[in-house]
Amino acid sequence: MSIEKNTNEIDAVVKKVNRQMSVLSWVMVFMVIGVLVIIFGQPLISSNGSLQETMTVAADEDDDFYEIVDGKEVSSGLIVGENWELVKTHCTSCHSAQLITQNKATKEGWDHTIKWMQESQNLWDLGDDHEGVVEYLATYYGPGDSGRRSQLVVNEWYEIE
Amino acid sequence: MSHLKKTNKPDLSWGRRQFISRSGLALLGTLIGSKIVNGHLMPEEYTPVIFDDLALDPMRDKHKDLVVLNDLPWNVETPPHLLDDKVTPAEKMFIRNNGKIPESIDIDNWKLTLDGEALDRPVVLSLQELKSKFKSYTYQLVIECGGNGRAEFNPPTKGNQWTYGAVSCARWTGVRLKDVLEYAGVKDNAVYVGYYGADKHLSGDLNKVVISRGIPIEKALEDETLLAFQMNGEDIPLAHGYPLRLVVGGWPASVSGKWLEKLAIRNKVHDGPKMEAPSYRVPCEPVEPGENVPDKNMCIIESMPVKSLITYPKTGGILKNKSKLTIRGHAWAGDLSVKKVEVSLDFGATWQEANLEPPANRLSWQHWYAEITLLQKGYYEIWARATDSHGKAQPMVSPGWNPKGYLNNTCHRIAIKKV
Ligand code: HEC
Repeated sequence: MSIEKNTNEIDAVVKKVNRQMSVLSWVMVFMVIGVLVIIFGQPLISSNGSLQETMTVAADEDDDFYEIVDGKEVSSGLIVGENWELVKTHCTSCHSAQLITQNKATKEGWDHTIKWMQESQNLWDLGDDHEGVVEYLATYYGPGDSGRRSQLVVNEWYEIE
Repeated sequence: MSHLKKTNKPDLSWGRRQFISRSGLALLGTLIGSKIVNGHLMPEEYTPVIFDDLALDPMRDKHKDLVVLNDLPWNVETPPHLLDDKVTPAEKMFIRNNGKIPESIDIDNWKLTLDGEALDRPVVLSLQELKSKFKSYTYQLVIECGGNGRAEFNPPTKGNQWTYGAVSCARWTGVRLKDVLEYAGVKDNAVYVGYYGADKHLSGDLNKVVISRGIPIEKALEDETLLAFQMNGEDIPLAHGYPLRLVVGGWPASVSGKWLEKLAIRNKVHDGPKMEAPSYRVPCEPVEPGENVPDKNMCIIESMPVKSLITYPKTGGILKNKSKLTIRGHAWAGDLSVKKVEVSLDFGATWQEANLEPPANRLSWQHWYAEITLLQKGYYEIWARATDSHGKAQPMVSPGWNPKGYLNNTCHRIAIKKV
């Protein structure tokens, strides 16, 4: 009898502790998130709303931080500019962003490469993001005046008599 | 090959990817105070975290001055001065990967399957059988990426921006493809031999073939076309195709299939991934730079063009209190041989003929050297140009622009100062 009672009592205590523990752990989760937002959320955005020079964002505990130095996101090397996150999201899971940052093309040229990957390399439909991705790529990785031995520029083609 | 395990390792990368969940993405978006991206468009298994290929980091075995163009997939080039060896050692060999390096190689159960329309029935050979049934041959063979030199095309063309160093000439040992084809009973209707390897597609889709190119039957039947299992007298390094690869000297490196598991003996031009336009094709007729070229006007690249490198001295050298310098390098010409190498110290105004050695064997590169004299103090560019056995020389400006930036064989230049 007394043993049974004891067991019941112990059960009850255990359940109570369990309940308190789970409440406690939820409280802790919220506290941690709150602290993260206070620590990292604040300094990220300066008074004019733009991204600051250098920042770090905790992505997850075993992964590297997202850090922006000299206008580039450190882990990918992508230039931070309008829509860069779209490119980081859509374009860095198969290959590294080095394949992007080495290249230069017009909007049409980037569109062409994206279509090629969609048709032949399992790249998904970018939906609403397509326009932003192409815009970003052509802006920050557009064709400049590169090439050591440049092409001849012909203003007007004519027929030789 | 201590880093090769004979076990089937679980794919660790996926666990890590799943760990970073979609909600993590959303939180990230909130934290950086920017628009939350359309994460829902990505299939479940994708998150913007990579680096799985780092577990098989081929750079551990490479010279520290090789240049990484991309670490997923691995694409690494060799600066010209590091190509000075007559036989390219493994630590200085460029890497061009289209997908992920296979994670585990079961050497005891590795099989090569031959099938296709031009065989009556498939033939399966173990590595052991390949080595014992057929005679082995060793050749020094040039393997050069079709996109070597791409960085210098203007308007820019997409892909890894190789400068000069996507080329190698190692000693390969293996059996002749023609002996194996004969053994398998290749029929008269054979047109092309396509390969399939064990590399994995970047998308993670295990059913997707990364690259499957090939060669016409005539090239397949050449003596020097090997199914190789050794490089420079040792097992082929994992990044270069262990345990078995095709080695097809003088043609774009993409036909020398790595981690070789299957050969398809076709009765038509092979149609695997990256045989189709625009991959490894150039306009059949010359086009204006930047022109859009319809797929039907793109032709498959076969032999690579004539080319040379100055491998000594390294560019940027300063010559003090002396005027003479012996410079050297290699020259090669796809299926042909090199008949002449010349160097210029005055931007191509005058040329001096270099001493040229014969190749170690057909399809090997040839070594050249020249003693030059810098009379005045000042800045010099040394240019080298090779001429092939058909009389074609390297151009001084980028040759025929093409949409994917292949076959740039402009002369190599280095800068030197005399003080
Ligand atoms: C589903 C997988 C996948 C995703 C996601 C992906 N790519 Fe690719 N991409 C590939 C593959 C495979 C290649 C070929 C790699 C190689 O040959 O080295 C490639 C090649 C490229 C190339 C070189 C093209 C060429 O002509 O050689 C560029 C540039 C590129 N990707 C940009 C992007 C951009 C921009 C995005 C985002 C919109 C993106 N990739 C997303 C699979 C992907």
